[in-house]
Amino acid sequence: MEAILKIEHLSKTLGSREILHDISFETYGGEVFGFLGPNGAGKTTLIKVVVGLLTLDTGKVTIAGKDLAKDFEAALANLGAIVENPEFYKFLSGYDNLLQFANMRGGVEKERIDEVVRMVGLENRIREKVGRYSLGMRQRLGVAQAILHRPKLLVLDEPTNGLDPAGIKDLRDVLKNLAHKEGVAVMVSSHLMSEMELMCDRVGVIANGVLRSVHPIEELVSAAGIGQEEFVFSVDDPEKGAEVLSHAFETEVKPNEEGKLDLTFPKEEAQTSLARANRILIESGISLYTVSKKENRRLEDVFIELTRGEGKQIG
Amino acid sequence: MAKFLRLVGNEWKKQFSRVATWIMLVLLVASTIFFAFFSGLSGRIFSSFYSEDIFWQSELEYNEQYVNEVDKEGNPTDYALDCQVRVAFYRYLIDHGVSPEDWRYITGLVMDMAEASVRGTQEEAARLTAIVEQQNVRAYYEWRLEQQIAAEPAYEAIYRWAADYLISHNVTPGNSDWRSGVVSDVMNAKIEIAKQERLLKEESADYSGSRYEKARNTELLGLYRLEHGQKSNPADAFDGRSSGDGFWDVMVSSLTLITLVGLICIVIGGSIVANEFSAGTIKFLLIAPVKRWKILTSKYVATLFIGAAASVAVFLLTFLLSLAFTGGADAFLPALSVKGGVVVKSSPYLRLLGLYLLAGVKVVVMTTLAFAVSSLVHSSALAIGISMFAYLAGNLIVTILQLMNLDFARYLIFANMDFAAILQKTTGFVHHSLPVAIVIVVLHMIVFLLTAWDGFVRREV
Repeated sequence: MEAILKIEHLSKTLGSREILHDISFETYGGEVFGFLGPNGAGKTTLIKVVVGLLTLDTGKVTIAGKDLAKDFEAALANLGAIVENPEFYKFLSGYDNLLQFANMRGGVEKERIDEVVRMVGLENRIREKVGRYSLGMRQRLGVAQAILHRPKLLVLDEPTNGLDPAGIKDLRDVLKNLAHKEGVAVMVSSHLMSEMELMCDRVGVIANGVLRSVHPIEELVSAAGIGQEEFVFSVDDPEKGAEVLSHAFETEVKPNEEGKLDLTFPKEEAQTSLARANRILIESGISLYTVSKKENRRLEDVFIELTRGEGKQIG
Repeated sequence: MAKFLRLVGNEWKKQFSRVATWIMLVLLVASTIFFAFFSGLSGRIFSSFYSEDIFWQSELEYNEQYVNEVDKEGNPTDYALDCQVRVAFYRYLIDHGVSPEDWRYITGLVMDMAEASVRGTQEEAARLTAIVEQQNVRAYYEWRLEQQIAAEPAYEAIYRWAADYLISHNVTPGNSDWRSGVVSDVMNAKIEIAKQERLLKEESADYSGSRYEKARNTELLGLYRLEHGQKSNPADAFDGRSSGDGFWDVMVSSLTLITLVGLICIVIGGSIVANEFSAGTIKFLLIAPVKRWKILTSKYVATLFIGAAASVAVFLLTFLLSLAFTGGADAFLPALSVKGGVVVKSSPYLRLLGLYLLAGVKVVVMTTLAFAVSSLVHSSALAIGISMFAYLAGNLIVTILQLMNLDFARYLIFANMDFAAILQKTTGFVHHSLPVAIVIVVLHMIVFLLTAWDGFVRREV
């Protein structure tokens, strides 16, 4: 597969501080690449270098085979982006804002503008002045301008900021569609692991300017113990319950601080194990109030583990 | 190139979507109308409100009080005689319904008649009364000729030439016929020429080559206009004299409005870059596949375009207003001037265009300054403030330095932007020269543009 975005040994110093250190990775058409890191890790700086807002000190950035430093216009012709907050000309309508971008790029027909406006669901408000848009609507307009010219690479910095849950889902669908159906290489940054899991095919983790690792999302998920399922039992007698369950499943079960019992089963045996645990509790004369499945909180733990111990985070 | 024009179009669209831009343009249009009105129409409107004849009756009554004043010997005093003259004068005007536009009033003929009836001989009084009663133009010219010759016999030939021309061409005296004024100018010029020639022959120190030259030119231009029947000379308006029906006076006055165009350019030039930074939109501008210097250049060009468009609008609006106010009979007359002893025709429009362009030098330099500061510090307030100050106070600074006899002031940029004044040598610096001014302006432009380029293209966002 051909790499759309290729970053080789990129370093960047702002003032006396090294923001990015020797970063190399590639993203491909048809995938959503997530760029994950705590605030201040260098995500925005990296994105600014890729979109041409900042120059790089050393290294090389190639977009669709064009070297950004040497062939600036040709490289950026294949890029669509939102950096930080989507800012528009407030005194122009949404449509006129899109026209501005279309004029700067060329080759964007009126039909394409209409199509993109429909895609992001702004067709009813597109003639209004942007000054009257909500943050969510500006985000949608931001996506519209980013994909207007059918770029091969789409870079979005914290794209879900300010969106409501429905908006986040819409955006996710739009991005997945672009990647999986139209073969666009999408790169998003975020500091939220859960968001990445739902959106990305591959995730690169950055901390303190160093790229720690790049994994397919499945790898991260299994590393986070997603192959297992964790259940929380709420019973009338936690001490006794812990004792019988420890005995039955040959593992140490202790009531947690809320007086509930946590149990982890391998995913494939989860249902039978759960049934067995129920039976054992009832046979032992313990009343079972509720059993609930625990969300993958440990994905966040993996994230913290990957980025931990690298000094203070800067907001 | 098409892409660059689209960029300029983008900037244009943004500027014209702002309320501030429209407010400035409306003010410019209002000022243009105001200027055209006051330099063209006001004279006519006020003269129709104000008519001299409303004072005649009161003047008559006032003077009648003193006609019988006598001195110790019982003779009428001089003042009483003056009053008698004025009483006769106003009474005639009122009784015969002479209008203030009547040539007999304007040329002073009625006054001469009144004077003769009080102080002159009976014969002279009768002669003048006949001329006035019969409105005899020819007799008037003949009488005036006699007066002129009696006063200055040396110039008899010149006076005779004027009278012959006026009589043979049936020129009405006063100011209703343009030829009357031209003949008078030519006559005075001929007298001046004769005077200077005599001084030259006497090797007198009073001889003035420039006055001689000027009189020669006036004579040539006057004769040319009489010969070709050209009512007025638009060139007069450019030299600060009123010309013909005032069409060109209004047109030339529109040059003042270029100062306002300059203010608009400074406001736009000082904010066109800084606003992108303060609104955060700069990011979207810079991630477009367009090199930064092209974006910067498109903004600069758009600013200058708006200035040029505003100047064209001022010109066209003034043209239409001037046509409406004056009737525009002079609109298509050539400007006449004398070069090497020959009258040459030129287009006053081209001449005005030249003056517009010269006035534009200062606008462009100050706009570029605003642009440079704006792209360096990303603050429109600072950029506009600095440039406005330089634009409006620059001349004052130069004048103060000049008063302190500091000759180096002529190397300041403020002293070198008015090319028209430097050409006419009216800047007050003896050694001012256009080539030096051009070098100074070009050097400043280079510094400003490099500053703008450095602030925008190399800055990391």
